[in-house]
Amino acid sequence: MSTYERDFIQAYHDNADALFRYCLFKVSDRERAIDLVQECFTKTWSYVAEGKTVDSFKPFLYRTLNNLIIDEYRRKKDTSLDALVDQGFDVGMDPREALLDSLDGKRAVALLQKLPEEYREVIYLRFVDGLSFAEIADATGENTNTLTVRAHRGIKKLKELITYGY
Amino acid sequence: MDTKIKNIFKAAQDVSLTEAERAHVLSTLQNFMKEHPSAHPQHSTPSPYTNVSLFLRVRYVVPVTLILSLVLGGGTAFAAEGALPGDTLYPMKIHLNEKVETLLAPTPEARAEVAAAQALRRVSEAETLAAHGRLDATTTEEIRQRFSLKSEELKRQVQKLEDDNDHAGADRVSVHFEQELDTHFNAFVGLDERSATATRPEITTIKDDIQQRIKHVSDERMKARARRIKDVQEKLNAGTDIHTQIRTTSDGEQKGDSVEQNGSDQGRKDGPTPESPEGGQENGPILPLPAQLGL
Repeated sequence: MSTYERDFIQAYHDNADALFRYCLFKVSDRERAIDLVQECFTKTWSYVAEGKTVDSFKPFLYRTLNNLIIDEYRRKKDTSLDALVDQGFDVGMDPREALLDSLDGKRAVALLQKLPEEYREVIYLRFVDGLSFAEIADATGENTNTLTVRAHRGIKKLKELITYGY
Repeated sequence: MDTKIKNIFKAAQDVSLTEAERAHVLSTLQNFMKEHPSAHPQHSTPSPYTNVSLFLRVRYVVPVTLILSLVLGGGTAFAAEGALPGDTLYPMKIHLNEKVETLLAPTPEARAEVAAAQALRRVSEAETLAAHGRLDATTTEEIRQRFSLKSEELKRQVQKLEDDNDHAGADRVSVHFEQELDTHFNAFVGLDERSATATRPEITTIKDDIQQRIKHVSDERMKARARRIKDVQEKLNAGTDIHTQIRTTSDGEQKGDSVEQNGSDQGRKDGPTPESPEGGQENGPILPLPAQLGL
């Protein structure tokens, strides 16, 4: 195995869990999240197999996964859970809850999912997956200053959710 | 940050792939990689996973490989940077690249950083081997010995910094080393959980070595700080004794100490004054404390 292949496999070991968590947070379907993470890694390998250089795997993987998630949203737009609720369909217990690992993790992720969309992603990537603002900017294409402001406001909003309920 | 919020983030981090899911995705990925081999030259990219010590790489690794490349020609020295135990170029990495790296360190703190980086590099190599199921008993023992040697070298360099009163430098290197070891320890915990039965003893052994070294480094740092505090306290006490001597003399019981006096003695018999915490003299200069302590 070449050094580059070793590095890529190491990048898998180092980032697979965090990418899966993030993907599950975004798509709320465990099997689909696993498929998307797998696709993220195979797409990344295809990119480097063509002879292109990746300076740092972590932000590249997050960027690739983000794009796959956007495609997933577009694909599921007409059949999304929210769309079903909007149409008056009573889904009863949130099926997302059945897909998460532990009670604490379930509650934590459910609470984070209550954040407004503009704060949710940066809060999750920064404080759950531990990416730096520079890495998040690289992964999402957003400006670092914008991200820090959103993170600050997101934390304030989270405090409100904890204090006043949701 | 609010503790409740921190707990939320921590709990969210518990969500992860199961062992079976992780293995399945890896297996699929490896098959994909075999079917789509890389067009990269085998040694073109320096591995960020075999040279962990980022606070050292930029300053010292590039000059080392440049110098060796000029001397040896080609990319041999550079290729050796990514070598692992068992690879053909690994002896070059250990016995040549790293020796030059040590020689190029210009300051005592830099030499300590080099020792730290080289110790961490051993751990990083073990991590990479373990991740690929290549960590056997022989390699483990080799890595353990080298890690121990470099860690002891680091300890000597840090002690030199302390002896030279560069306490900030000693702390900087020591804290960095401990933090990096902590990161590796967590990685080994993960590897231990995921590893096949055959490699688990080796992984556990290295994980335990890391844990012991973290404790050792932390203990040494605490002892050094305790010694510094004790030194300062002794100096302060020496200053207190001098104030007591001065006050005793000023009561007129003894003469002949080195304190100079000006003006009236009346202030001396008063109680504590704002000027002197010991309640001593109000009037006249006394030798300043730093001068008394010889500082």
